[in-house]
Amino acid sequence: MQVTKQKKTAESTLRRFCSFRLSGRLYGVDIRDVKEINTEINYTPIFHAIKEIRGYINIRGQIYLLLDLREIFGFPGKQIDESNRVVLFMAEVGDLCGILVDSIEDVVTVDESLIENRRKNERDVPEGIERRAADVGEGVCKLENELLILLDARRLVQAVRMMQSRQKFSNTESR
Amino acid sequence: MGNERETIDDILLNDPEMVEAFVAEAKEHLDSIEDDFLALERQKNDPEQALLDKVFRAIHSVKGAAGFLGLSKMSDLTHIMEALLTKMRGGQILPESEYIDSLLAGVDLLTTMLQNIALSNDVDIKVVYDQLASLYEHGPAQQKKKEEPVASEKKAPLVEKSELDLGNTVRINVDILDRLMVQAGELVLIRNQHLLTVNESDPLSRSIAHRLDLITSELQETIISTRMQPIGKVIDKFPRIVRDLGKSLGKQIQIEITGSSAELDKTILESLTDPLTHIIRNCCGHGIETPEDRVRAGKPKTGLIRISAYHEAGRVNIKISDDGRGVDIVRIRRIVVEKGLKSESELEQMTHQDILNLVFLPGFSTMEKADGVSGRGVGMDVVKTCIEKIGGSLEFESKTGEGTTILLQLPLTLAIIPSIIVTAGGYMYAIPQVSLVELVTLYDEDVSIQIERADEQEVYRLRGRLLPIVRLTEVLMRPKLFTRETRAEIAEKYFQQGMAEHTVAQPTADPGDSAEADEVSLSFVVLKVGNNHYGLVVDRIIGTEEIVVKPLHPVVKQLGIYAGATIMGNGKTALILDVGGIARHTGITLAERIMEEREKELKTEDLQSVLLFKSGPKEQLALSLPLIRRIEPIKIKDVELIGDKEYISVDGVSTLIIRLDHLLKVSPIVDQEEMYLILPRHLKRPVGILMSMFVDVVDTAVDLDLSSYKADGFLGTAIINNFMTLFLDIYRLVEMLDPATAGHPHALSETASAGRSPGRILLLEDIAFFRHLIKGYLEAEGYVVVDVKNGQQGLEQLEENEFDLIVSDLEMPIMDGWTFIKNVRQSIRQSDIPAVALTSLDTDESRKKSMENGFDFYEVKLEREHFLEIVATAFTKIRDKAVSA
Repeated sequence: MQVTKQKKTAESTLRRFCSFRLSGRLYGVDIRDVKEINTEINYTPIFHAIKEIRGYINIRGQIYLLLDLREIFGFPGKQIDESNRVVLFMAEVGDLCGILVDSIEDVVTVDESLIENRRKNERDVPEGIERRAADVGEGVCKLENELLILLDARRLVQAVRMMQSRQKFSNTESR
Repeated sequence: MGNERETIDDILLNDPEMVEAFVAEAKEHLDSIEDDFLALERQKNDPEQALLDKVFRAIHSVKGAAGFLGLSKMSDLTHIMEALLTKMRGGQILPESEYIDSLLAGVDLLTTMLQNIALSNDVDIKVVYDQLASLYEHGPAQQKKKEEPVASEKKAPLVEKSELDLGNTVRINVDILDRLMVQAGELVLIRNQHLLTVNESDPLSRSIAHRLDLITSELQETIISTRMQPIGKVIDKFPRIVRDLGKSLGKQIQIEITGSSAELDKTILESLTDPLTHIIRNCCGHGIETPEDRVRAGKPKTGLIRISAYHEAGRVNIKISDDGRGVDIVRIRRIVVEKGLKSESELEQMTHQDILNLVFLPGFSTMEKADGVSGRGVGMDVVKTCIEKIGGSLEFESKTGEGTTILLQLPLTLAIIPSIIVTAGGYMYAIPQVSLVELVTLYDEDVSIQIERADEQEVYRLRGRLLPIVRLTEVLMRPKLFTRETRAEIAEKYFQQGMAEHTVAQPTADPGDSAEADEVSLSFVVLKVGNNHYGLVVDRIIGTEEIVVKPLHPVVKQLGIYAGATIMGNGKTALILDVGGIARHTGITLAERIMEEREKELKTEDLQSVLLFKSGPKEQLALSLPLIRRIEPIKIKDVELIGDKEYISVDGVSTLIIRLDHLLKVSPIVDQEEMYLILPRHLKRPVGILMSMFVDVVDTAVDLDLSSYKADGFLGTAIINNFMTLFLDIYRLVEMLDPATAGHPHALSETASAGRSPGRILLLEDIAFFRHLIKGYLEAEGYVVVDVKNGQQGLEQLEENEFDLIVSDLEMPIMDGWTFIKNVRQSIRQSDIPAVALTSLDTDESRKKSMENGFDFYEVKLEREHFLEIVATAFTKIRDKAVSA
């Protein structure tokens, strides 16, 4: 009895994250939210959209909205190169969309108990860049030799939508 | 009976969804029941209980719902079937053939009823019902004989009703069709991409590509056609609505429907029901008058509503018109003011059509009180929004006392739409063809001349109507809603650019384009939003394409200027523009008001475009824009001195520089490193006027004051933008350059007036500037000049006064020069009066036409000297004639 219970707990607390790099840092999103990783970065810009939205990409006849994670976090922009990848999310995360990341890393399996929930003590989160990251963050996790910052894909899409709404509103106000 | 009929109709009207759900469900129940009955018949002595339960449940469910919906016949029939099945379930009877036959007959009848649920209560069920009832009570024995006639009787109507519909149809979930549609769309895409990579030299590859191309298109069309449904599905319901409404309102209304077989995409059709019903209700409620009123107005007692649907240019048009009282403009005005939607002064400036369109304002309803017929809290604004949401447009026309017409234009399908593909800033955009009116491309000088400015808005005069111009690149670059300032900024930017382009012979930027550099062009698509039009300037118009519409991501949807996205043949994503959204973003709907005022102004007064500039620091000088070819920036170091004259090379032509302070009494020009040269039109000699500062280009009604500042080389003065402005006489300036040839401005006048009474000249010219100028020249020569603005006025003058000579422009509003002279030549009085055509048209065709129509001389605008010579020659002829006669 004891053994099975332990096993059960272990199973339910293990989570797998798709990890990637952005401005040198290691980030991860829940693998269940990820549909695929793609190299297609040939996007069509959407004018009037906020800079956090790169544009539309065509993935086998489906049109995905490409979000610029660097912009969302307020990191300096970077020329697109060969290592850039697009992480496409499952439709239920927020329609057809994905994020542009600097490079893709392995799938990381971590125990839930090792994840420090950032959102619990939001007051401690610093202002500025880190604060913005915190808006979409789920927590952090210490790996062997570096920190994995976990992102909530749903909250990410939601945050972009909010930003866009705010901008749209301020654009409309003037008249 | 009649009552029951009402019930189902009411439900159909008020809750068609519920009825639809019932029909779908009942069909599902009956779908397999035939097989089940036959299986039971085979099992005969040992029927499977589960199967019995299944058929019982099916019939029972249909009965329940039918009873609820007031489908009495269906309910009766299922009731007796259920009773029979209860016995069978209980083992009291076995599923013998006699029973099964009758039950199947019952199923057949039910299926028939479901085909047209509205008429289900009219179906005759008596025979089958009686048979089932008798079987229920007495068992099969006595039934044998009756069986056959029953079968044949019931079959007859069945066959004719359902064979067409039922025999060859399958029910498919719309989701599957949607998926097929998407997949076909992707196939189209792959086909398009494949076509780009085909090796044209390989016959096999070519033929495969060709076949793939064909079959893909066919497949796509077929799939689209699966979604098409006749519009009758919606509009055929209206006769009933109209009849009932007429009755309840005490009006006699007739309805005429044509074209109900025109097909539309299911999605569009579904979203059409509500707006159309609302329009029809409006026709009955507001439009058609009571019989007494109609008789009083001299109309037939019965009002007529016409609905016609027809295909046109890849769209479906639905026109709904009534011959009722029309829209009462006075009442609209009153209501709008009462509700505070517009002020009296705003209304003053609106056209008839504008005021009509006010009914689309949210919160507007002309009915004083909600009357249950049309005032159901749904305004015309909702109707309009509905139609626009499905990519359609709505036009509205009404004449008081004569009726109202509403024209809906709808796309055939939402999923694949014909579009025009354009580029802006290097990206492709699709514009739904529904919104497209026409394409316009301007070349060379026209680009900067024909795009005018009306206040802060760029406009183009399209067949006499001012069309607001919106530039797509500017729209895309500016996410903020346009304000007056934004529009002004854009207009200014392109005006300056136009000036610069004018001046640059060789392109400075973009060497890649150098081949086309000589050819400056500007393309715009004329788009319509409701009754309003605007021109959208794009970089390039690529062509038309059928595009597969993909919905926008919700985050982007709020931007407002896009309607969707699509994938082009090259695999790139392109955005579909929201034509109405762009109009809203740029505020041209607001600008329209101003435009109309402007237009009125233009009609009543003679506006002209004037270049304001400075030579010396003091005076503001002006030249009429039509007289200017272009403005060239020059560097003072490039100026060459030949004798005491300054020359500069423009387009490889050595051009004489005119310094105004050398010729006229104006403040001296201060040399700067870079200056501008105004190059006039219509001059033989290459000259350029040096200007130190460009002030503005204004459209203004020039009222030249000829008296206050009379000096050689000036036409007169006018106050422009609160500054005293001196208008240059460019022709006189050129003469003044060379005192030897034309030093005496009044040289000819002496000869002209010598020894005889001054000649009387009738001058026809629509442009105020030229009118003043030419009149000035002629009067300076001593002639008496009467000036008019068009041919019509010219004829009137000829009726009343005697003239010796006609000088007429050709292109004029109301009546042009050709028509005018034709009339003159055919008139009784003064038909032989000599006539000079004075025009800026320099074509053989125009020359020929002018001579044929009766002009004696043809002179191209405008060389003062030559023109005056012609006039003098004409007078000589007159004199000779007089002498010989």
